[in-house]
Amino acid sequence: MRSRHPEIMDFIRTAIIVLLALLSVLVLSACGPRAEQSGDLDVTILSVSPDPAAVGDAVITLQVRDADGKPVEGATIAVEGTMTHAGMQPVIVETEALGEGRYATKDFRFTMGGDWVIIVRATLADGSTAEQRVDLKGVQGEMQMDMKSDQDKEGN
Amino acid sequence: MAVLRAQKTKQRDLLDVPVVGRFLRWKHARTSLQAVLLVVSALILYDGFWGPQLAPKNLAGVLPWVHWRGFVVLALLIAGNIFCMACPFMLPRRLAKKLLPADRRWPKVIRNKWLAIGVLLVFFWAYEAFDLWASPWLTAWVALTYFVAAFAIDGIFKGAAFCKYVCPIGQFHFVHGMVSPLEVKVRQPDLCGSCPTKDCIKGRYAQRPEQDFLRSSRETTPIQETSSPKASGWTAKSHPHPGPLPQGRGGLSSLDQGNVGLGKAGVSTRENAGSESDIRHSGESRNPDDWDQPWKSQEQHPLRHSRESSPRHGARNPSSSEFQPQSGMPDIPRSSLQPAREVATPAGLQLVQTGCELWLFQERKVGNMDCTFCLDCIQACPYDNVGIQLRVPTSEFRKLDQLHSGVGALTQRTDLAALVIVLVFAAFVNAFGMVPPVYSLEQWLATQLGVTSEPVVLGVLFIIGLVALPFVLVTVTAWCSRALAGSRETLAATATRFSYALIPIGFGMWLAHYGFHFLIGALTAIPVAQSFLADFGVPILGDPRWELAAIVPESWLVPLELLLLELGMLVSLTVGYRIARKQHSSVARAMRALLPWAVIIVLMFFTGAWLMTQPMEMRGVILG
Repeated sequence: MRSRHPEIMDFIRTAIIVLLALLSVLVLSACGPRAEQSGDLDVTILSVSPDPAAVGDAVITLQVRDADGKPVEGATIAVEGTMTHAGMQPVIVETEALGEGRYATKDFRFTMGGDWVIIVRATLADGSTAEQRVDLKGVQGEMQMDMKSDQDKEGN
Repeated sequence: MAVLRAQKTKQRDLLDVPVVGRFLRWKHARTSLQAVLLVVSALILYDGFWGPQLAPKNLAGVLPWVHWRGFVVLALLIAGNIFCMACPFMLPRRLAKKLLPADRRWPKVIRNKWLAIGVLLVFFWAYEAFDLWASPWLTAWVALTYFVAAFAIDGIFKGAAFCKYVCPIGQFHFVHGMVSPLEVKVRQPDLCGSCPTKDCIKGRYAQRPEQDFLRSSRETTPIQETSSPKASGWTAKSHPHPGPLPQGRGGLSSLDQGNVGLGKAGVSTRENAGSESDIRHSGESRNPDDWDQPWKSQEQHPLRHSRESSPRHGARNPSSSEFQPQSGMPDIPRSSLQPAREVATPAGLQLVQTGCELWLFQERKVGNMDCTFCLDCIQACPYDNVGIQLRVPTSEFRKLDQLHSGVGALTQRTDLAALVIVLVFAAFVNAFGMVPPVYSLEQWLATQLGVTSEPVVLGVLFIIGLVALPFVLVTVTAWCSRALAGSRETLAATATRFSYALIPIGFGMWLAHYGFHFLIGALTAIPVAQSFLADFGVPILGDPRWELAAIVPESWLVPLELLLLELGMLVSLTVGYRIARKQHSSVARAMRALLPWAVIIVLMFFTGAWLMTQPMEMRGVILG
């Protein structure tokens, strides 16, 4: 059945759609912010090899502590390296425990120069999980490495 | 009496494709597409403001910068201006048209593309200076600003002022739509010549139900001029409708059925559609002040041309300002094509379908410039005479000199040429921002300027890259072209004419760049959506699979990018040659005129190829 007031109906339809969209934003916002990180882990990057970090194979050594500051032992730690730009293939690797809450990445590779974000996902001995992020800025790109190499040669 | 309805033609038309065509003819096709994108926008706004502020993990970081950009360039390549068709910013705008007066004329001084160029320059600069790609929060603000701007501007001004004069996304689509294979255009131009109502631009009206009493009198008596025609919108005599109306199409049938619903005794609005009063009413109410604005003079007015060129309407009588009807077709005095200035929707009528709000009159519309694929003209045309037709993608470049309805001749639009040049150079500058040499340049520039502020350095870099360098290059190239060809055309005219030849190489660069991001990150939306739902306790998509990203092997990317760039270069050279040949009858002169532009195009190709083969790096430069 056609409306006798198409203008009014059009207005109502448009208003409903727009209000629903606004409402959905409000409802979602009422749910609170999405978690940036989870669990009470304290993750610190102890070292990156090579130093300074550069495009290519690398080993990242992490120190993982719990909320009380005690080293986390016996956890399964996965490391994801990603960048500030969306849409890139992240580097996801496992780690090996070095003892005293220290873990080292296996087969990690910086695929691009720039600022990286290291995401540490831990499955603790009791089965609980935690996720923390650490910034790793200034991974050298190929061009910077070439320039440094040239400077080193000139210095020699 | 012959039925006026577009016949099937040999042209391939998207509306004839079984499922797609049926959907696009549906009255709510555009709204449904917009509703989908509005929901996506709502999610982007939410996640941008309240989600994790790490772009790869946030819908506001992934959907706009990876998927949307890739989608729009691919859509332009294989179809047309699909994004504007589904633009979510237009829904609040429609609301604004109802809530706010929307009765002001867009200021004459900015009734061109200069403002849009300024907005584009600011956007490209802000994108780099504030790392919009890395900030979901800022991305959400950009989207929100878009909604507010569209609402406010179109709530204040008549027509689709935001789309036509402000929207940077729209300008991107208008320019690159010139190389798209689809175009909204009339099927049978002759039929438009005999259309007295021009609903495609003026919109379609139905009688208000409360005005039913009028209809009984209109059945037997032509509408009488009221004492105040300007105020009421009613004018004198009606013309008979040119013929029985087609039935069964969504747009028209909705009107007809609506009228049927009003009472058997009623005279359908369509039966009066040929009236002079309708012309005046509808043209008036939809965009009175700007009706003749896109055309610099009456000589350029599309309705004038349409009537002069229409064999069914007859030729213009040189001794009179009136057109002389032929073949028994009704004619409309020219005076009726001049809408009165200040009248809103005429009394007793209500708008049931808007015509083109970007003031593109279908009969004189040429190409995709300023066309948002909004489908209004398709819905409005009572003769089913507007389609979405397949064309040779570059065919539009053959008509640069032709008057484009609502646009004018492209070769006379320096503002449009400037827009083209900015977009073409932006394709390269934008990609340059992602490769390591930009850091060295920024560092050098910072040292020279004695500043450590990256936004300032980038501002200088963008003024050089998008304003100064293009201006110098195009000016010198145009001068060389004129000198070599011995052309008497002004420098600006030559520069304007040939600037359109740069569009394909620029588009090739945009395709290579945005296509790269899309192909390498198309699947990243999946884990982000999984994570989004999981955070709300509805992990129906499972645990996030963060390893998902590319949809093609990485080794394909560079060859693919180079192929797109090469295609852009070849098409640009071909278009440039056509432009030169159209200007110069001699092949030798045309080749000489083309030569400097060909050099620029080839240089652009090599620049693009060099950029694409550089190792990509994410910004994060620290100056000082």
